[in-house]
Amino acid sequence: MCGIAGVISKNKMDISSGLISMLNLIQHRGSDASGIAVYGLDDNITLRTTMKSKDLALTLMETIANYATVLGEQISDWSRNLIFSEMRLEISAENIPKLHEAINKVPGLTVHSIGKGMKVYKEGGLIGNLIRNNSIDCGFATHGIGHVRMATESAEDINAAHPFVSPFYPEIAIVHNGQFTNYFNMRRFLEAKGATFKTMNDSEAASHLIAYAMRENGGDLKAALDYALEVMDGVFCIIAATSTQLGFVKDKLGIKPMLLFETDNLVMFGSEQIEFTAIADDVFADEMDPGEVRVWNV
Amino acid sequence: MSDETKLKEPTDSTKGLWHKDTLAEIDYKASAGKHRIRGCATPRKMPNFDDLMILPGQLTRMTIDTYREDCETRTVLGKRFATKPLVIETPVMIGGMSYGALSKEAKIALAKATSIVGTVISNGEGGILPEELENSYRQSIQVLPSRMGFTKRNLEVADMLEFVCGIGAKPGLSGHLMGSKISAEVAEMRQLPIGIDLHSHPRSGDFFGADDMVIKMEQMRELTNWEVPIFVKLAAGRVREDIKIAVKLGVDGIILDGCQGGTGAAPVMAADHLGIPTMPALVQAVRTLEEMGVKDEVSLIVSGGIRDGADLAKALAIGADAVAIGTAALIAMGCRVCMRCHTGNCSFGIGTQNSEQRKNLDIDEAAERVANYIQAMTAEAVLLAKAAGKSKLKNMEREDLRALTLEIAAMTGIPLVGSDLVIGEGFGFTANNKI
Amino acid sequence: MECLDAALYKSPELNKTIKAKMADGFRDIVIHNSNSMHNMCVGLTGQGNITIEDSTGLYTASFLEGPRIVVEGNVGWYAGDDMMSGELIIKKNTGCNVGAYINGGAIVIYGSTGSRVGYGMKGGTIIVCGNAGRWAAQMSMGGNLIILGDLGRQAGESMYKGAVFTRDTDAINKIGGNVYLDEITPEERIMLTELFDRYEISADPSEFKVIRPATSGRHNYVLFKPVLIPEAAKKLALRGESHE
Repeated sequence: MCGIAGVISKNKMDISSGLISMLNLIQHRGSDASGIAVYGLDDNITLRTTMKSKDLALTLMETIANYATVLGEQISDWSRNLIFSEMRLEISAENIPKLHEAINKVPGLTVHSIGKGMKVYKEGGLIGNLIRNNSIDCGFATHGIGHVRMATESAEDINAAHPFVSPFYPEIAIVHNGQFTNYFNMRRFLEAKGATFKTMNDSEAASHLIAYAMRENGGDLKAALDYALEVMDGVFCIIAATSTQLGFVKDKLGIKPMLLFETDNLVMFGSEQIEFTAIADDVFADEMDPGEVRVWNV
Repeated sequence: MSDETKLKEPTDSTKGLWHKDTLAEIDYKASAGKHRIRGCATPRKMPNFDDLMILPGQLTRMTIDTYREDCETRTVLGKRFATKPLVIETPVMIGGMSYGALSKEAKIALAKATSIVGTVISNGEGGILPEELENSYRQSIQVLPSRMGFTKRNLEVADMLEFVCGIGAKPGLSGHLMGSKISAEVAEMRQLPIGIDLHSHPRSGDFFGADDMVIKMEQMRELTNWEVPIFVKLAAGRVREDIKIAVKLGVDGIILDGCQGGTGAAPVMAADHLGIPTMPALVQAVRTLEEMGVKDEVSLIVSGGIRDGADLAKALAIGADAVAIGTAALIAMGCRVCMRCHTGNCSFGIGTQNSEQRKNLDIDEAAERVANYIQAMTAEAVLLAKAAGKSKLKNMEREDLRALTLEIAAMTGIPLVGSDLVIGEGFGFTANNKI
Repeated sequence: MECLDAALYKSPELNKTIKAKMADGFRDIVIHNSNSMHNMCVGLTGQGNITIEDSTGLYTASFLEGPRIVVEGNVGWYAGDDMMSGELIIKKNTGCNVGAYINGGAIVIYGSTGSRVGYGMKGGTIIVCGNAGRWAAQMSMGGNLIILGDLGRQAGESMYKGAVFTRDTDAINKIGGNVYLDEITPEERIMLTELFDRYEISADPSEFKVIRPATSGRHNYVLFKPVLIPEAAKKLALRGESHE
């Protein structure tokens, strides 16, 4: 089992910290990894990637050079097994998916996020690791999603933590609680469409599937999630976000929890009631209906 | 020890190669001076779907309630290019069996059954019996090298077309119909003289080879206005090469008939020694379609000894979109597999043109039995799919399967039960090709 | 009255402390700062009144046998599951699968509940003053479920025994498989009146109908459900032409 969280705020808010507080309250749902995706007000295009070894740093730079200019870079600890890189880029909109795909095609390089104001942070182990090993941008943001992971496999691979992104539609990030029963068929279908899978985590398939639908339908998240509800088999609650939309889908048998709390200024999503006490004291979140898909414009 | 203990002489009762059937075959050749022809399918034991097991959900996968939660069975075939793909309610269709090999009553009963369950029947060789067309839910029309009884009118009523290159029971050979079964009615439909043995045309006269077929296919699209799904029916032999060409021809789908398929009459040598079994042929077909990058577009129907929902579920898991039944449907109507269809002497009124014997087949009862059988077979597959955690039959995956023996593991690339052992190139995501 | 600060304990220790207090003769215990803790008051026995001032997490009062637990806030999934006897009173709302498999006792939810309330319940009473989600009392084997608000869809799905009382005017369209809607008996009306009195619920028993398990015609499970559209056959696309 895993735990998910989501926040949309109309007022200025430090979404990163809000999500982390929410996730802290459901740490017991998974201690193998955690992650957040935040959509901030930063005008810069940020690229966050991981490298399996420092020898790949040059390859990464060469790949980027084909599509963008690097304005600034931050590297995490070079001595780690997985090296994190965060860069600010100057890049045209058409080149963003191309760069995303080009980096992912290199074995050992994985894009965690690429987009304007969009940042995905993920890390293995407890949430404490996430905070300690990353300098998380705690500026004002509009919305974000988060996840704690209980892994059934590939627990050691940080790239297999959520949120997941896909070159089919780089600005979409998803978190998932559940298990698909047709992952292999989905994966084959998506690989035939050109997806490069970086992990064996079935949640990655959901990110490519929803992103593919977004690309094909011109960015309609509701339609993409309706499509995903039909195509994906198994149990699942998924929260998906783009720079302008955030939505969820809950499987038809209603096995995994999907809670929602909404006021005029704040919308919160979670797996357990307790998450909501992080931001708003003693609120009751409603359990969503089986087979429900809902999307908010941000 | 008593002196009178008799020494028991061994009887050498197991004759090895020289068992009773071998003796009988040699006797037949010695007296008749020709090869033997026989109806039904090969009696030889061969690898089949029983050699695979399905993995159920437990802790890591949630199962679907067998009785109270739904599982979708609706199947869409031929959507690669056809603008009106075929939609059937179960992935079980009735394969091509000719009016001639079968009685009129049998054909009508089979057609009626399709209207009860919502599936498609193929006319088989020798034209389309008007009563079959009238009673079927959806109609597939075969285009064979013989073109007996085939006219332009057929194109107008076909929900699906099958260009038949071969059938599993006698690949590389063409149709056989003994004179005794060519009655006045059959003869009229096929535009043939009554009573002479029929050995159908060996190859199509309007296309020799794949290069012609490509152009022929374009013509067919024009004639059908791109609406009708066009399949090619292949006997399982050189599966990889044949499928590659079939895909390049521009077909919407492939029907693959394994060597365990039946027929009204076939030379014993052909049935017993030509072609390859259905299950491994299917694996090879799926691998080929994937190699060509068209697995999601080209529909794949498999036939040849399909018996029950387990065969159906496993075939879907391997990658078929549907199955076709032949012999099984006849058995549902009453056939007891005496394997004498080629004589036309069928007391059940199924494989005969004899007017007295035909009275023994009650059309409506037979139709109900076939419909029951298809319904129950579909329910069996649903039960298995739900146990594997699927809410749609088509969501069955090859990773849900395991091979019971080393041979089957080697034949298919499916891991051996209780282990991660894969022999050769793994089929699907296996332990030796995970990231 | 004893007060306990849940923030000072992990749930097994808290439960142990509660049991110890009850053994020492404290009949009334109040717990603060519950902070959506899981497994609160699991397996408690004997006599006592325990009040939890805030909200709880999963499995509140599982396997309860005797005491009366009042939760002032909300409870998470699976509250009161496998209960033997006693009372679980929830002032606000709950998650899903509340009261699963209960054998006896009473669960009263003044707010709303999620799907599968009373799943497989075998005895006892569950009252939902607000709305219930889908599959209420799914496969129950006894007991009474009373829902004052909206009934979720597929209510009473495949019940074997037991009863679901509803005053939802659209109930007939919301019942599940293998059940039927019936009028309540005079004895049931009295039972409802007593329950509403006891739990200070203002409702009129005469507005209620009841969902009961079907005793025949069950197991007509249909695994294959074709939807036939014969008119879409190609042969019918041509009208007024005859063919050989």
